[in-house]
Amino acid sequence: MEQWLEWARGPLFKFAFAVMVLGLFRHLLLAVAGTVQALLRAGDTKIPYKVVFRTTLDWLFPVKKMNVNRPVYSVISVIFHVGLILTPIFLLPHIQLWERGLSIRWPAIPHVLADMLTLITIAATVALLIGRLGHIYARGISRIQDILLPPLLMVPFITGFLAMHPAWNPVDYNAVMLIHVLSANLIFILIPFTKLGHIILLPATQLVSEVGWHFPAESGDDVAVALKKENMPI
Amino acid sequence: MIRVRFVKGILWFLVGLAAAVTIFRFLKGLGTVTALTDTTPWGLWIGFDVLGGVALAAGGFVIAATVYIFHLKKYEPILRPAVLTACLGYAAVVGGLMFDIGIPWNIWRPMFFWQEHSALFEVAWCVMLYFTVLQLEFLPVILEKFKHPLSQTAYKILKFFTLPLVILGIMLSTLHQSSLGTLFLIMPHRLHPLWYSPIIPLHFFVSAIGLGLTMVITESLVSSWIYKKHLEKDLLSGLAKAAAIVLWAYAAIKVADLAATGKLHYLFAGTWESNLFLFELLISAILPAALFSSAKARQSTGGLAAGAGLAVFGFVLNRIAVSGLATISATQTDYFPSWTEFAISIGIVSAAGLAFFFLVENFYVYDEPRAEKRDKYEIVSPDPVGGIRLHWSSLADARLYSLLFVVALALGIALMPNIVTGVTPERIEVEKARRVDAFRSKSDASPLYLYALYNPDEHDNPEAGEVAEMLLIDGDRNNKFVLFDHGTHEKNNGGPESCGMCHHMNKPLDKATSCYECHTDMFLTTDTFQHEYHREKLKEQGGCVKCHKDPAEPKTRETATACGECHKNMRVPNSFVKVEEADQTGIAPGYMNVMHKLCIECHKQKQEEKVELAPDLARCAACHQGLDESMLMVVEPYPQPQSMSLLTQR
Repeated sequence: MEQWLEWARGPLFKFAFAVMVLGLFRHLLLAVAGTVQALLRAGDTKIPYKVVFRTTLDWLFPVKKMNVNRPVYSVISVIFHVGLILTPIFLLPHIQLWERGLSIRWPAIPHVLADMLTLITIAATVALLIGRLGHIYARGISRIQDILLPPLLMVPFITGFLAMHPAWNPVDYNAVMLIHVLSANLIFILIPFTKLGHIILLPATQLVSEVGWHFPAESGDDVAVALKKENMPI
Repeated sequence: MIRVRFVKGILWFLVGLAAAVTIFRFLKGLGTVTALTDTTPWGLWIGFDVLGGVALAAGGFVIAATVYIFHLKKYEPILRPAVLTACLGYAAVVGGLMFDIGIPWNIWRPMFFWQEHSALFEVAWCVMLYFTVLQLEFLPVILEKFKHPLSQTAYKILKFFTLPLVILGIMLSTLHQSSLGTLFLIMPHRLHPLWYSPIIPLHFFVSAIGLGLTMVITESLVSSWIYKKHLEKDLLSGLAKAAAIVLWAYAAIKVADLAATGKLHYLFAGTWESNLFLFELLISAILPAALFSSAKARQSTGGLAAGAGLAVFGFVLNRIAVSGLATISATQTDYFPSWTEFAISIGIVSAAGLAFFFLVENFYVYDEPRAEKRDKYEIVSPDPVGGIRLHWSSLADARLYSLLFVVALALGIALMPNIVTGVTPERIEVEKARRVDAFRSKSDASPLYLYALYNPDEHDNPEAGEVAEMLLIDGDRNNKFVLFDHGTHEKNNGGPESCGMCHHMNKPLDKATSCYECHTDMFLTTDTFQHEYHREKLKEQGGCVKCHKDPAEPKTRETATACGECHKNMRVPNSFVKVEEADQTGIAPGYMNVMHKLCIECHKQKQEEKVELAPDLARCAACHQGLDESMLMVVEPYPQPQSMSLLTQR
């Protein structure tokens, strides 16, 4: 068991983390290249970049959008994101692992706060899943990954909590730790290949859709006319 | 085009793997990614990348000579691909050298600091000049595509100088191919007699011509297979016919050379080297030459592929043998390349392959560019993450290749050992001091004692000194030791009560804890606190809660009970052991630092106190005396464990 654990948080972790970082970087480059191509292809010079930039920022911090459609769902979503991002990065044992491996460290959050954030995140995940499956329209537009990813995201939080509180842990410490590390590695690997990619792609995709939004209406037909390709399949 | 995409995908993956190694090669140095040693400083990178790469690039000057010097104009269609292969081959050699040269940014030095007596000097200049010439020879292919007047002028100038460039290229590669052999003239004692020869430059040159011809055949076969294009079979069979002559000549020169120097008996000696040599000669020269001598085999794709493949493999093996395999019997050192060395070698070749594909697809290397014709109005596929339909057509391949590249890069980083990716160097475990019999004598020159390991034959004169029990301190077991007169030190410091002056007293009822128990590494800092040991010891007394008292707190070093609560009076007053109180839960310095500090500080103090008695007490030689080669012979083999009673356990 311990050798598996060593492997999971040694080479496997390095692979998963590298796939995440490099994969996200790759996405960013491709997204930028694709946007540039789309712009060149449209040949449109009337894109209001200031508006695009501001709305993109608005979406990054969705305070204004929270009360629009499903306010409770929106609030839970924000809480979920806060716990999901803060807890793993600022947990003391995680920082100590970075320090052991690469001699880098940063301030940690108090242990009690980490505990609270963990429980809140788990609760928020459950709530989000209920909100998605319980709402008829939300269920209608859900893909398989939308339903499977939240439970997967919960696994490292639950196992991490059990590992930190041995008294509540019904099974072997190393087993819990192995599940913790393996599930986290799986998430790292999945990030560049699923909707989790919005970690870095959100600004980029937001920009793309905003740019697309501002293309003139019926502009596709104009292009077809210019190319003398009217009434031909695109 | 699925074939092209498949091959390119694999190449991008291999380049990604090499990229990972590249990061650590230049970040952490040669030693972290190679299996090279001082006795085997030339490994796979020199054998394959440099010697092999240069030989594989010989097709350029061979075909250039055929077309421009011998005016065999029918070979013109394969001139550009041959020059391109040569140019990329040399680029790969230069790239490989960057990895292999310990300090690659000094590569410019041969240009300004001339060592006319060095064979490497000639090699360096020839590589630089010929690489330049090859680029100038190929540049028109790129320039002709651009309509800019400047580009057109440059194209015309280069075209005008084609013949001088070709002649220069042939001269330089003749010099260079053979001077790589010249390198080995200075190591007759290193190279096995079967490979060593005073005319090894000639061997290298003739084999390069043969390899150049077969390499052009190989490259044409591969390229026409990948792009499903027509194969210029009549041209290739013409080359094969020439190759047959050259390869027969090469084999004849080799055997005649052995006969002339009286080395024929090595050939069938049945040793590992003789078998390797026969195998190499068979597949590099005799088999392909025999195959190419038959007109029927020359006309068939299978015959061409088999002959050229054998020759290419055989000659690369020859270069690897000369630079490495044939030196093993002389140096008696095992060397097998690490996976990282293979990754770099394969990665460089893959990168050259990708460059070849790019140039072939976008320029007139063959009669026309071989790129896929895309439908301008094809329906674009949606982006898998964003779901947006961007115009991806020219990025569609980039998505696949970059994915493979990224995964390979991550895999390479993951496969690197912790010692390379992390900050922790390798541990050197420290072991306990051993008790030995030593001979203690006084010299007239110094007031200090002289110590030596006790040898009954040598130290039989009781008047010269006395035999005493001492500690042999050699923490990393590297045969460099200090004989420590424990008894005298104890006596001089005040008898049995003085243990605490030099020792920690960590264990309850303990008088002296051995240094190696906490200073477990020779040079690195280590944990003072051995968690596993304590957990085992405290099992009966309540386990974890004995130290981690508050179950609500995380179980870290900071929240644990201080060591001093259990281990009281760990140091006596006036102890020479200097420890910060906080350090007891923290980091123990390396063994050697601690031993030096503890001994030297006390010695310095005593030296100042008794200037007339011990003026040299604080010098290195006071403890490290007479540790010459003969002393090291005495300690080998080490005393067996049962004969050692350990002073530390008293």
